[in-house]
Amino acid sequence: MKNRKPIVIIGAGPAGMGAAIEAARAGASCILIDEGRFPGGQVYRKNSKEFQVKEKEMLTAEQKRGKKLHEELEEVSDKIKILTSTSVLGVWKNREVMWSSNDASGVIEAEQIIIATGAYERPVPFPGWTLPGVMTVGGVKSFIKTMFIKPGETALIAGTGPLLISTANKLHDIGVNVLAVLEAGSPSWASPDFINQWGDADFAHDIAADLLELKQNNIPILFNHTVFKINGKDEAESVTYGALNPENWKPLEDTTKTVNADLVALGFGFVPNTELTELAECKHEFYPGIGWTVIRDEWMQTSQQGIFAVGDGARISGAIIAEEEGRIAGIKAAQNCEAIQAVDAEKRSEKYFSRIHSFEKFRKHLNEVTSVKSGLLELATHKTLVCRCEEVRLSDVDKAITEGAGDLQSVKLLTRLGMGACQGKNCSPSMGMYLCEKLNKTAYQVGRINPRPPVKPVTLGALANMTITKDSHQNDSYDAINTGGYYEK
Amino acid sequence: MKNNEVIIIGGGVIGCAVAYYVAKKGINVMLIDQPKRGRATSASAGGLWPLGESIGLGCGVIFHKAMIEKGLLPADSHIPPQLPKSFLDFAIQSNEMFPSLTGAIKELSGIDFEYEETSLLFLMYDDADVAFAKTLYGNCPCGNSRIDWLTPFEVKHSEPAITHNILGALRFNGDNQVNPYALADGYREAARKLGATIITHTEVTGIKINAGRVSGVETKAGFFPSKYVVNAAGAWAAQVGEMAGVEIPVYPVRGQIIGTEAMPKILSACISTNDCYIAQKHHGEIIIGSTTEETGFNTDITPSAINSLCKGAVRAIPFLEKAKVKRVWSGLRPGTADELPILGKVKGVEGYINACGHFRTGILNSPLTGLLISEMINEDQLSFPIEPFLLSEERLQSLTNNENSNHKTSIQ
Amino acid sequence: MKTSEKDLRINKGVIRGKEIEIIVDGESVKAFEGESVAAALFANGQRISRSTTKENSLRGMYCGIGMCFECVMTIDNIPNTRTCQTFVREGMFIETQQAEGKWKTV
Repeated sequence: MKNRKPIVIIGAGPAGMGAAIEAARAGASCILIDEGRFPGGQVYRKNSKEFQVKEKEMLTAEQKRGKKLHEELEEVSDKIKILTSTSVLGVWKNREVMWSSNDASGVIEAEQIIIATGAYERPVPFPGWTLPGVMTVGGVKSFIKTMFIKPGETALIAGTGPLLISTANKLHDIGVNVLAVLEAGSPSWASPDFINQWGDADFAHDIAADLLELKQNNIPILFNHTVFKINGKDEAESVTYGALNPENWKPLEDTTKTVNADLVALGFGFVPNTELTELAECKHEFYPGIGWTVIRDEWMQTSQQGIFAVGDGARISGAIIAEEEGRIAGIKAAQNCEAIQAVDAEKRSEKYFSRIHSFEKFRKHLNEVTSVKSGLLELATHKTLVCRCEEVRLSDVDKAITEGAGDLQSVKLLTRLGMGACQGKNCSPSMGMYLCEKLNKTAYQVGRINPRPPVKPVTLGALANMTITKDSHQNDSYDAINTGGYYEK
Repeated sequence: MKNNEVIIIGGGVIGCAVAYYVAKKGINVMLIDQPKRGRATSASAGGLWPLGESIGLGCGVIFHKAMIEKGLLPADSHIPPQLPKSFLDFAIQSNEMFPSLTGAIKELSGIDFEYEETSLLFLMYDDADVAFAKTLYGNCPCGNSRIDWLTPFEVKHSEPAITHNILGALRFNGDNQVNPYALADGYREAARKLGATIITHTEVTGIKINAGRVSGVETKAGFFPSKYVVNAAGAWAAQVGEMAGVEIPVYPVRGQIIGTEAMPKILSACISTNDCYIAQKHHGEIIIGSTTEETGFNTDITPSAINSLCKGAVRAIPFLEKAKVKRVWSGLRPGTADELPILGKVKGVEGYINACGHFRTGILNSPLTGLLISEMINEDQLSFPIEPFLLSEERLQSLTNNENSNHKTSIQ
Repeated sequence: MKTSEKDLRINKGVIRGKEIEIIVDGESVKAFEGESVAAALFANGQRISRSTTKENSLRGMYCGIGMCFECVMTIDNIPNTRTCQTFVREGMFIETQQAEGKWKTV
């Protein structure tokens, strides 16, 4: 094999781990980069190595899958350069990857890039959503899982999708008083028929098990309900909730009740983290209620040659499909590097393709039942902060619209919406939808808030100390980066 | 609908300034704008450096050093080309308009464009810088009444955050700064208060000409009649000129720029070195610029530019090492080969007026440009001789054939 | 050492890293190696990380995955440090951040 530049895999969650495992098995040179201290991503996140955790006798299906994936990665870890505690600041379409770690930064020229940056919770602004004590369900779940700390005493959980249920159970397990789960929809996954219909999909079993547990835990689930307002002076103290119109999820104002709770966990589905695919100028498409996704071919290749996008960072499908997508991309990238032949690639990827195809119908179904409806936007009042970083209120956005702003970029220029540290992640999905509704425009017309490098925080000192690696086999500047020691033998 | 006498194409700082000054004369004016990615106003540091810019500081000196490093200029040519006296006079007169402008704009629009009297410091790192500074100190076109030579001790005393590894600094008094976005917003809102019509998010598709005279502007939102059309389209001025059959030798020159997170006040002056310039803005963020690159309408940012600007910033202010970069972005300056703006009427098309080609000094030169254009339209006596900036046939020829243009070479 | 009336740590099934002390707004607070700064503070009942620049409103950890920048505090004199992504160290100096925070500039 020729002396090739490496395959760079960005993100070490299920998709990135799957990609790295397959690329390494195929004999390709590869670098796996993750911001965290260890591989695992959000769903298969590992505990701090300083902690000794007694493994439960009965692992959940999800824990079993995570364990297996970690074992597989460990088996090939001597063939992969794993850069943990390392952020990717930008990706260019000529396949340059800019990274930073502590006080250093660098540019790697990659042969192939696999972007596996995962997803984050879709923001839905409403009064009080910025108070301390209000967290995302994913944040709550991983916080408990890795830190073993109660994030509050009395919790209310709201949003849409099966993650609400597993989070409720998890909180109950550790002794938090969970008042209720408020599900904005009336999804089919919550019906008893669901397991009969989708029984062959792993994920359906997980949901059924979680629902059963919820029932045993005596946690009520209210359908077509959500949080209207969170009250409190310094932190969340009480929650006003109510019913939604099942058709469009518009809040029904005369249905409200208020309960005391110091923890509110919110999860209105997920948004793919497409910053890097946007920077690389890959093509994206929009699905109403779901959002922007990366356009890919069956091998997970984006519209930019040599750049792949896999897992929830490309399109929300959950951890199981993410892993299969990652594996397929890892195999194809190895083939593109001439580490393996096309026939071999076909053979290696066969079972992953067949798994994905068997999930396809289920995935479409799940997309339908985890999408959000625009009535939720009416939860925000004029005074509600819609951009948490720059403290932009809905009334500021309305004023910009009056002044002629017809797309997100123009609203940004007039209001500073999306100009803060999170680069618009917490306002762009909701305000994109808002502009579409208000101006009767398509998501393509409304556009997006363009991400700008660096997409992760980095010091000037680190950028001043930048190594531009032309030939990755010489002077690997990233040799010094701490790999977290997780797989060190 | 009232009849517009004047339509301005372009809503950057120049277009907005022209709208303000024309509206101030009581003339019916409309501004049509389509915000474009890469507009220079949004990638400006907001420096008002009439002296610095005229003698090649700011971006000039950075570009000059890069040219030497690439072997495109002899190593001993430590003096960036100075611009003609007429440019310096123009810039100084425009700069002097800011103190009164700040009150006028605030009163009309409520917008404070954060005018700050900072002065500009040129840091001398080595003997070559000292030699350069000596030349400037001795030969400044306005004499050295506005320049102070500071010893390292004096620099340390007035700007403790600046590195102690310097041989001295030149202070240019009267070189100040504003917030460039607020300035453009301020002009625009003040113009609106004075009766100007502002149409945003609207693409101009043509300029209508009848018998050699402008009769209006075609847009995606319909036709708007007018007697005068002002081309204030920045880096896109050539395309707008073409709509009127006028050749405008303006081309985009990319500048990449870095903004930090908001910091406490650590700088009272703006800084120019041969690596970068540095300005701390009112909100606390520090702006570090800038490259000079001819890459067409490409607004990409590049790792090597980020690296060299960060190196330059940390060298000048070591403490910045710990500061976080919030964003890197780029803008397209409306470049001209002789680095002078293109102003005024052209032969052959009655009613067409240029207000373009401001290159690196659009913010600084916006008030005088706006005033002159308004005087031209109102047929008043002009406050400044416009001849050096007209697009005469000779100038057009020299601009289009100019082999000496610095910027024809792309430097990253 | 400041002893909070509540310690929200779950001790069943887990042995934490070494116990250390961190300094939070001038007071000594118990923490364990392997905990994020946000976790150590939450365990001690402190969920407020900062107050905002424009409206002086209070914020705390929201996303928990390093994406929202709500949990930033001033750590060892560096403002805007994400507490959910930063791990405790003996003697770490942590301050509730007001607006842009205070830098030690010279």
